[in-house]
Amino acid sequence: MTPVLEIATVTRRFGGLVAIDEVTTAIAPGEIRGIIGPNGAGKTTLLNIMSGHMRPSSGRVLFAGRDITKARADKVAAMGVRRTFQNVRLFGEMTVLGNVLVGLHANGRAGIFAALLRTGRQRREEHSMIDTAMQALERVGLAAQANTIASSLAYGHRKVLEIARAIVAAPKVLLLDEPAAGLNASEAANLIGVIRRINAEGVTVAIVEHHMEVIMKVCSRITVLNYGKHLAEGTPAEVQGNAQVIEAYLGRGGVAERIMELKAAHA
Amino acid sequence: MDDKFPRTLVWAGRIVMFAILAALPLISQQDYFIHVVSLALIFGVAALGMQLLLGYAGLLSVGQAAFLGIGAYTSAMLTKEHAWPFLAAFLAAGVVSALVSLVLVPITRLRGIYLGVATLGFTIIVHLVMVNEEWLTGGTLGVLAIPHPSIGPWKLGSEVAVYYFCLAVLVIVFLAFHRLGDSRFGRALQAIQLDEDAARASGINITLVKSQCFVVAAVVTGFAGSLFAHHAQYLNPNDFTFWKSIEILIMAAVGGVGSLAGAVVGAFVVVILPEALRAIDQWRMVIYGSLLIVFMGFGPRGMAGLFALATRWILARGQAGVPVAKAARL
Amino acid sequence: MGAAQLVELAVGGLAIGCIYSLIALGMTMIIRATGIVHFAQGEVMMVGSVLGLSALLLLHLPFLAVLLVGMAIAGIAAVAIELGIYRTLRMRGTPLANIIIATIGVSILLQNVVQLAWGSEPKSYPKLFATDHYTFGAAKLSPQLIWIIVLGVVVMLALQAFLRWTRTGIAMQAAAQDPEAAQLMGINLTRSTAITFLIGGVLAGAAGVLLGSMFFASFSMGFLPGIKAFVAATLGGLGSIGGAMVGGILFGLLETFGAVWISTAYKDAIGMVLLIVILLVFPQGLAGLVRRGR
Ligand SMILES: Nc1ncnc2c1ncn2[C@@H]1O[C@H](COP(=O)(O)OP(=O)(O)O)[C@@H](O)[C@H]1O
Ligand SMILES: [Mg+2]
Repeated sequence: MTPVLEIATVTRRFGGLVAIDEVTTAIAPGEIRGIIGPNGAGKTTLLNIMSGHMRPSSGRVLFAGRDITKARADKVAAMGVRRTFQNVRLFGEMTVLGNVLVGLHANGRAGIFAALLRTGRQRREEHSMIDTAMQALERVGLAAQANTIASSLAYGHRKVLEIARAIVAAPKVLLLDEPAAGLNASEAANLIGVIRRINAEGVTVAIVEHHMEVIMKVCSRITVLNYGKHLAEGTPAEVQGNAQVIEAYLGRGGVAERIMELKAAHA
Repeated sequence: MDDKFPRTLVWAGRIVMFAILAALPLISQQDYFIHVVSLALIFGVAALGMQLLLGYAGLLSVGQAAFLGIGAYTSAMLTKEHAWPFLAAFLAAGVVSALVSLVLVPITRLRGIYLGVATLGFTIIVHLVMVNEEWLTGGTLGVLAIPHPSIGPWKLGSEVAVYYFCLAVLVIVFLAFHRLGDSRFGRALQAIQLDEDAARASGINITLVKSQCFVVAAVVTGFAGSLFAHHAQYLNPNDFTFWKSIEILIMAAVGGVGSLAGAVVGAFVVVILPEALRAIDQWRMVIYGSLLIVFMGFGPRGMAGLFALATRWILARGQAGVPVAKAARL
Repeated sequence: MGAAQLVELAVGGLAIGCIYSLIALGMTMIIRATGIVHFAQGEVMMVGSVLGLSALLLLHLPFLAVLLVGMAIAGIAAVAIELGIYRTLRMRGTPLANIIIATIGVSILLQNVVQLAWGSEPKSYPKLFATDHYTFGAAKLSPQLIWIIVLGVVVMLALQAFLRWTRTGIAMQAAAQDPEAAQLMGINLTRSTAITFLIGGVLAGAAGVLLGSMFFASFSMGFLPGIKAFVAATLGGLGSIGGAMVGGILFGLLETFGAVWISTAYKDAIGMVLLIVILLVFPQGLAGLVRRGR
């Protein structure tokens, strides 16, 4: 089966720093992929490259077999790759519903003239957009707050609102950057439920996370990054085994090198 | 939060404002008075264009005087030299202004102050073209004896008739922008203003939407320019210096960034204040400058914000009511 | 065009460029420290020029003393504006965009107060130098222009030295780069911002006396150079000190040569076209070029 998202020997440099170093991986349809690694490992950069917010310095990105390496972020989003941001980026002054409606932008067709004339078609489109947006809010449990100003929501609600905005347009792929960061236990549990439900509806998910419980519970496969390098990949169980290896070597320095040595030895 | 109460309040404020505008000629039919308030209406139209850019999309333009001038010269030349009927020239003013605004498309990717400076440069260039290209604009002598506006055979010969025509244009543009603000396009503008990355991630083509915004503002400002030409019946390049661009910017800001009614009120303040202060002749610009500083101190929502706060205080004592952010989008 | 004329033009361009640089430097320092685009900086320059001339006429001071008086007065004026107006607005929580528009109000206010107090007529600076011109080969250079360049460069070097080697200067730089950290380290932000305005005013005052000595002093002399200096600062990359110096000088040269080589009528447009082109390539001004190169 063609992978939904394919990263082929992607490198990204910032000046002298190599944030992503020849990473290759493929995410299969229906998967929930975890991406883990210490701070500064390049996880967000990888997500930015997948969503079109950043160009790789070299390498290719394919979406459903199509090359999207040079596509603009809005085109990638319109094609069906949606994302959230590490530090929650909502349209703070807009209502909750308004935020989700923005997520539907690429699905709409009504232009400036239609809006000026309030054509029947434009009004029907608005109504159906509002219906779709309300459904998305229901799916994450925010329907009751539809008319609240987004910036006045509680932190946990802001995080799921961002997810609602990302899924409202029925994307093929959802990229989540640390969705559980800053959530308490019950909010995290709710989040796990939301992610599973979205995945069950056929959305492929890639999730960057430090919260190991969330990762181990929801992910079907996990990719480990370290200093921009692809360190390990496998099922949670496999990686956990590997992670214990990492633990064993902690404090003796050169974690990455040791893992590389081990991998080389096994290869 | 209750959505209905503030909406009614917003519309009540707007209706009161337009009722007052419609009644102004009843106060005095003196030509000079009507002439000045008509000018304020015309700048109200230009200020609405500015509000679309600044208040809706967060685009700092110091280039609106250029579009005002392009509209004014287009309309004046077409009616005077080529005997076009006024309405056709009026529409052409919007079209030509829009076409020229396409030149600015590459500039829209600049941000904040950089965009402001680039559009400032644009105003300066267009002004110099008006001064130097005599074959096109009449040069520093300007254009004299521009005909009165007319609708078909009906000539708007009196100051009062021109006033009501300007008011009609203002009302139409106002309602049009209200509709735009409440549409897919308007949401995209607001999203871009609030967070460009998040807007991109939501599938919004930023360059396209920003350019569309510039074009719409240019059309409306071109209309205002046409009104300006046929209202003054005389054009001179000095009407369209970058200082005029700054004045149009001030109109949108004084009234309250993001507020349509605020832009109209701002236009009246900026146009009428210096006239009203004529009695104290030499002090008037001193007071004008001081008031500008004081108005800016009113806060982000300008006079519209004050109005919202005041009405909330009077009408909604004790109620949680109007969120200022929303009420200020009068 | 002969070499002599070329030299004459270059000197003229450099001189006017130095004046733009001095104004732009003040604007840049203010932007760095507060984010405020100070549209009244040209008027601060005008205050220095006008009152410097008054001091000259009243007290018959030598030119260097006039320069110092102009710098001092403009510096004090700038601090008074900051403490009296901008700080009040900031403490009220006024958003930056509003404060920037308020600076236009300050510009209008200053122009008209000076017009009321000092009169509308432009007044010439008296002849300051015994000779009409120095001769270098075939080129005849006015002493004014040479002095403007020399003094302009001296003032800019003094600024660099101040920022690099004095405690106050270093503290100001730190406060501009990271206000919170600077505050934690015990830097008084109010004071450091006031000093920024003081220095910006002093630089503008120098520009005012130098510009006045070239032409004349009047209440309206500040607005256009102020706007051009702002454009020059943007050209250099807002907030970059080196960018403001280079941008100002570049703008002066461009304007002078453009007027002769391309078109006098479109002299002001040439700089603007170049500005737009440069911004399209480097959306953050020329300083972006340096940053990118690193
Ligand atoms: N826009 C950028 N400019 C320069 N360096 C960057 C940029 N974005 C990320 N980096 C650097 O790239 C490395 C990886 O960052 P990031 O992808 O954010 O890591 P993670 O998300 O895994 O914590 C870090 O060293 C970071 O400083
Ligand atoms: Mg990250």
